[in-house]
Amino acid sequence: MGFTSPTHLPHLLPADAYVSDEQFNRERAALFLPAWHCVAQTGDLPAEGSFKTLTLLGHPLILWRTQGEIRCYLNVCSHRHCLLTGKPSGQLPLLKCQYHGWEFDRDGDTRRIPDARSFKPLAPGTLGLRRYQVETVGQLVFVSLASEPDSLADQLGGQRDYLADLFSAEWAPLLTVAQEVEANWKVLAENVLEGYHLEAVHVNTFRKFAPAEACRHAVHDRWTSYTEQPLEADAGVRRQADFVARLLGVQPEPEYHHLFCYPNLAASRMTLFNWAQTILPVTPDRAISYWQIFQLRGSSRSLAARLAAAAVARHGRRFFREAMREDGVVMPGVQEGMAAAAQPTGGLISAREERIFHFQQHVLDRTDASCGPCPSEPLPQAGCGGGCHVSE
Amino acid sequence: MFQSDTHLPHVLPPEAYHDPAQYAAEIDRLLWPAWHCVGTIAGFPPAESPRRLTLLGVPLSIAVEAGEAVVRLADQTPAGRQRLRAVPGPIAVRTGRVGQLVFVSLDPAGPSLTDHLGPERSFLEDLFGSRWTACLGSFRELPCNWKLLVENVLENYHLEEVHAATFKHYPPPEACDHAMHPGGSSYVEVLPPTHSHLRDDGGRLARLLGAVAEPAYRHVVVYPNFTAGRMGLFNWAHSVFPVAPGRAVNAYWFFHLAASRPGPLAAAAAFGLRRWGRRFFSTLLEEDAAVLPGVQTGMAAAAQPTGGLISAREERIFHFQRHVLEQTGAVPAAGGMALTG
Repeated sequence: MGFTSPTHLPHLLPADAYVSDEQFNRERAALFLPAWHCVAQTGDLPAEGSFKTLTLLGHPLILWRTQGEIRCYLNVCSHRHCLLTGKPSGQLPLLKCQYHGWEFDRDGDTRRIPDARSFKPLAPGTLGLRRYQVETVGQLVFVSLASEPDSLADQLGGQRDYLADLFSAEWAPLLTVAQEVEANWKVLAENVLEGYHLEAVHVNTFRKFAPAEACRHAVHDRWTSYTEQPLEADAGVRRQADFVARLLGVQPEPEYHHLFCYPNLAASRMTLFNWAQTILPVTPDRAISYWQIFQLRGSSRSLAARLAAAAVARHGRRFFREAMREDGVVMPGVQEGMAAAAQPTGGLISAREERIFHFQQHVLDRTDASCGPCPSEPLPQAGCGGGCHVSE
Repeated sequence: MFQSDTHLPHVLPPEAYHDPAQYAAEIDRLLWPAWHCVGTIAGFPPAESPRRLTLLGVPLSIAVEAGEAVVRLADQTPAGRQRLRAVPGPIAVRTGRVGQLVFVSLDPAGPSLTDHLGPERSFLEDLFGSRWTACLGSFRELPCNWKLLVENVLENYHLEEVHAATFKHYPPPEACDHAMHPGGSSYVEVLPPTHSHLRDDGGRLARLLGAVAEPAYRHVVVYPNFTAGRMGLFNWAHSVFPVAPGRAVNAYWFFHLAASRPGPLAAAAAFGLRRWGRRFFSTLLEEDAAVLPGVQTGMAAAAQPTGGLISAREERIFHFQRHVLEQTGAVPAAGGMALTG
């Protein structure tokens, strides 16, 4: 068995941490504003001048490909504060404000101010756009709102190369979904940190969770991961996936692997698909799950391979949309339970769910949140000894 | 020309456009004591089917009785009276007329309509008198703070970018003249010789109607939320009704010069003018509605750009913001008062 804990564990965060404005603001300041966030893929900005707009933690942003490089600016004009553009995507040779036509060059400096003589004296260089840092990892595009963030490599805790490989050009974009859910962002994060809910929630998709013997957890200061060995019971499905992979001209990868990099990036690989999921808080009880799902491209261009790829794409879109729908149905119920005026006795995390414990500890450590009440007897107080700082 | 030799700072910070406390102060001190244009006398129904309108949270019913607009509190149930406890003060509905326009005040302690309109009263009486016929009315709620809707009409700088299908260009500074007074401001635009064809076309159409068109464009604002404009053959009244910190109703009433002589030519000219005006002004409102929510989103953004400034061409906005600041005690924008004159 690959769980790191021999026993179940307590909840470290109290239910209040999922509804409180104060905790939400602490998390925003300590976890999110300093971090890098995966908000796009290089394919969203395919050509010179392509742009994509988005809102990240209340910041309207515009990603813009210029001279081959992806740059990110605050999508707010320095004249009268209008959004430069309200369009979700498009093509612009220069950034231009939709209200008064101010134009900005690739460095965000003003290039043309209509009727400039009405603005004097105008000190040069004082009216540029606010710029943010951008990095790419494989096809994934990361943005940080911090002026001097930790390096993305540090945030990913040694997983950068793995992610670059996972989202390399061998994978074709399949589906992008921004799913808004009426639940605290941590509810969404914890939901993907365990497979325990698969049998109850994902009855049309994943259907069951793997036996403990097939599971392996790894924990690190910056991330946790889950690896699942191929199951005998899934041999039929696996044979089909292996067959399709060979048609596509690639060696099938039998293990399922799921990585969660703190604070909010999940990345996963199945045989024919992989995906990145960025979880972004909106309010204490609302969050956005931004899914970018990819399909194995393969090296073969035969007719059989193209037909197989089309069938895989069709299946993948249906499968992942259904899986998202299944989660979307149940998560508001978790939030409602967290916000209830009374809470049940107990509250515990199984060894299978131990990545949640680790995640909660990370949040607790970074935000100085007050830890949850120790579980009442006779629950074993594994590691909770009055504080909640369990050594790994 | 413009009054200011330099550009000016924003007096109000972006928070003033979404902060509930600032919004409450504006309702209390600026909007509650004011008179509000609610429509045209011809636009209200008879007493049997009064029109409902909510003004600053107060539900009103308005109907025409004996040729005059009669405005009453609409919800006199105990629950309705309970809701009215949230409004800033005691209510005494007063009505007034300026030409065809109907104005309403809710505050018994507020000024008279004449005092409220100040120096613009006679201009407005003439502008909305019997020489004019209503051609279009529009009530549109937008996800914007009410001040953005006022500021949008206090400058013509956005014409080239936003009104690409209607106004298309703004005039050179030499054709513009701004005037400020404590209760508002005005803008007069005299068409330059290069645009004389417009003046000539307007003059010919006016002669067909048997009327005289005033060629100069003139726009006035009466603080806090009423504006009016005259553009040769057309004019309009504009009220902004706040709904929430981030929502407001943009209400417009457009008019064209009426035919004052009988005959098919004058009738045809009036018909054509009405048809053209409805299309032109509908497009104009669509153009504004497409961009204004983007300004509100920018104001509410978690980060703001460096800079933020008002050109001399937009100086009426500076004057408006300063009025709001003085009346409400808002916190000024950082460095915002450094250039106040």
